[in-house]
Amino acid sequence: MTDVQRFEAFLLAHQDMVFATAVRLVGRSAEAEDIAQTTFLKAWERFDELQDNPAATGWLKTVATNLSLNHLSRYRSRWRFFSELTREPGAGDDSQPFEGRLAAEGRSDDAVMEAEELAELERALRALPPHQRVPIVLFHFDRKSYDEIASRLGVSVAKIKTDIHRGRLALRAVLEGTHVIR
Amino acid sequence: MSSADLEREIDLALQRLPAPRAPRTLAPRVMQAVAARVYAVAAAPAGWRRWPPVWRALGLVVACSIVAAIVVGVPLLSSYVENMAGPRAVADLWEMFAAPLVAPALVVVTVMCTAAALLLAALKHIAWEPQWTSHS
Repeated sequence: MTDVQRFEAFLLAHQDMVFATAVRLVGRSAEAEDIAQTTFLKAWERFDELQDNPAATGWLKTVATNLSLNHLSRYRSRWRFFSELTREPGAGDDSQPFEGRLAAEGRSDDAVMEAEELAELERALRALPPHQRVPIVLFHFDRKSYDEIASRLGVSVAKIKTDIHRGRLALRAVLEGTHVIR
Repeated sequence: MSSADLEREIDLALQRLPAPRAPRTLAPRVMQAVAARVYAVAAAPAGWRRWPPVWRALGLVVACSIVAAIVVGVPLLSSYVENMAGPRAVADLWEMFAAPLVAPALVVVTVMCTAAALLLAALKHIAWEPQWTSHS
């Protein structure tokens, strides 16, 4: 098996994790796909070290997270502007693959309803403004502490707590409408 | 509802979310980019740094020999011409025209060769070689 074939197997094994990391941070599939591609091209550069390395998954996640945060920081001034605006539920979200996957699978009525509710939650998460979505993702999915998030994003812990709290309230409002909270 | 309760509820709800799956276009895109890089490396001319060690050592020896031959050979030639038996005109021509030009010509040639090598290396770095070490 050649290096390229081994790398393709490596890519197929990790692409969902890398894409999920990126899409939850940046909120848009197209941008997340670009970030995932860049992540894997960096992995190709170091494939000699990464293949058969148990730390490869963590390395990929770290690179995808850093690239996503760098991508968002380029638009930081835009964040601040748009964070002042009220966003429509689902605005800016393009979670079509997620919904398409749910719809494509044959499920019972309850399962379909739950899938729809989860799709709504995913959509709501991606629709949060970046200054709320990013710390929420780092806190709830990556299990980072408030201090770590504040340090990583270069803002105060108080602001992180406020943003996360507001984001949670926005998600809860969506969840109450879809009954995901039980 | 307290802040802790809200955190717990949101955490439970978010943990139930399935991880988004990568679009089907991602893997072909990445593999296409990888193939392009592999091709670029294979098509790039083999620079001195990619030569086998033996060839690199030989190249270094040859380059040093050329420099040594010039440094040692020119004074020897000059001395030979001055002391050669025969018509004096050849020695006079050498002293008047050739000898004063040898040192500046060597300097110019050396500077031009170095500049050309640096320019070529810069062009290769910018326009030809990818910015990474690869698996060829």
